[in-house]
Amino acid sequence: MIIALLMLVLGAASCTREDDTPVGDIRLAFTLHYDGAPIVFNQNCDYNGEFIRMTTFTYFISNIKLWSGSGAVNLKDIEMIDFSKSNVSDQGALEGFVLTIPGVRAGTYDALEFGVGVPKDMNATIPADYPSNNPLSDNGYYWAPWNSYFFSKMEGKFDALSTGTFESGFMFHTGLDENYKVVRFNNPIVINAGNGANVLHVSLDLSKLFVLNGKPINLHEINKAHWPMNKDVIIAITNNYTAAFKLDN
Amino acid sequence: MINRGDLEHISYDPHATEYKRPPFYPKMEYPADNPPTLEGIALGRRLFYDPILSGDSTMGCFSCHRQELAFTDGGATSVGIDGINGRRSSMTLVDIGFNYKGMFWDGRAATLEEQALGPVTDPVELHTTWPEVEMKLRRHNAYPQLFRKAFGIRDRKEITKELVAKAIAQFERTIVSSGQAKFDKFRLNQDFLDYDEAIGLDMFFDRQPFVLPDAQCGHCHNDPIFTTNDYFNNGISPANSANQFVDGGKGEVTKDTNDIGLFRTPTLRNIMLTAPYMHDGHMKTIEEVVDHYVSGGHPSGKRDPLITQINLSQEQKMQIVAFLKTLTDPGILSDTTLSNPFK
Repeated sequence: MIIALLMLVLGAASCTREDDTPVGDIRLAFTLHYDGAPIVFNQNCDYNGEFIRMTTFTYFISNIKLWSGSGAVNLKDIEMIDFSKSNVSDQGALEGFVLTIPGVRAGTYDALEFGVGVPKDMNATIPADYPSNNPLSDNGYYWAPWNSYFFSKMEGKFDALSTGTFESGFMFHTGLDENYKVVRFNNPIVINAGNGANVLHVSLDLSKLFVLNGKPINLHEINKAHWPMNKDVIIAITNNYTAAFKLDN
Repeated sequence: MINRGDLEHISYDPHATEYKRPPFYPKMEYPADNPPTLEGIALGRRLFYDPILSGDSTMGCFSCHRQELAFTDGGATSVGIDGINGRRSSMTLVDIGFNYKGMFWDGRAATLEEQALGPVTDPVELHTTWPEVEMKLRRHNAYPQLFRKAFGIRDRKEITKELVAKAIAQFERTIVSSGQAKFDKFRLNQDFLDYDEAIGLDMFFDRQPFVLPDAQCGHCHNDPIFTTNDYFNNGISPANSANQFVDGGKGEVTKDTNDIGLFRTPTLRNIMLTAPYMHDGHMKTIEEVVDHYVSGGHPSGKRDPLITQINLSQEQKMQIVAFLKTLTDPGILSDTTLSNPFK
């Protein structure tokens, strides 16, 4: 009986902050789709009237915050969303890349906000500054000629020769301070106390992301964005975040 | 009555140390249960160069990882004690301690400690058994004391393959670039690059995008270690489906068909010393390698999207090679702490 009571007390204590405010964890589920159809890596997916096969889709997400009338609650400084770890099956693509943030004060919030990319202060650092468990430690995500991290990498294949072998590749990389974008969803968000109680679905729609001058990017004409001469593509993609990201709750 | 081990009379006073690194390198990490000590590194160095690890006492780690060849063996594929060729080329060990994305070409070992266990029992490498090696080490006139000093074992019976692997891993983590490569001296304002080397550098990292073509090397061979240690299909095989690959690479480990044909990107440091090239060693010269990447490799649905045709002239290809030559590190070749202690 005493043990049972003790467990009850401990269990309750685990769902409160030190100031006795109830807390819950948040599962941020990031999904990737093309006009509603989940994108599974290395499988045919629709794109602008043809098929593509996605092989890499990553982006840094930073300064994740929940806003309420009393100000912002910082949830996480930096994380990499890597769909190669989730979108490898139909089910995985539906569930998406899940980021769990524990210990968030329960209550009602007005908005979810995050930056897409690496904020200026962090972008002034280099991978060697970080231990290997930090997403900013990966030297594959730093491009010295830009003095910048890659904010996102989007790579895949398309069937330029219509042979069914998808021998042609596309590669869109973004970076540089001026292309850091903040996305904010002004939706009421209720965070309940407890674990597993709060799931926020953040989707990214490729049909709204790969758009240049109001039209889908034609991969047969534009299939690379990495260099200064492609900066219009990089700028267009990063300007499309606001339209392409959606909070589905 | 307490049974005393036969080594307890020997003092155990290990000296903690840190792995050295050039000033522009990240801090090296290591498993919490295998921190570096002077005694552990010395033991690992001795084991690395001792043929006691092989079935016929003729070969050891050193056979496929020779210091004068930047710890490769110069062969297309490696040959074990029975004269049988393996199917892959020996990978350099330089800067291997900074790799946290899996060992071997296919990533089948997560750590250096795990990696060191493999070649001893591989029939095409050292071809013995761990019980046999453990027995030889326990009976040896020097090793029991050295294991005591490195790991504090109380009795020679406590010499295990795991401790052997830990010691070798500690030594391998000391095989770190010295910072004396010409490019590193250039970076540290201690030397100049000549014209061709400088142009090669600019193309390698696309430092002058409006003036020079991007040779696109830096995506996978990024500074400072000149590898991201990621896994790619770099277009050397025309295979279009998983069952067409002679060697499945990472896919053989993960059993994921999408990983078939992917191999870990090796560092380009000391690349002029590590010929022949690619996981199967089929490219004999660095010029052949550059020609391959400029061509875009074999068109294939499995080829990575980053591998595409590159417009480089003959002169520009020569300049890329000139830059690659600046990555040869004389310091690591002459470092006596990395050499064979039996000589």
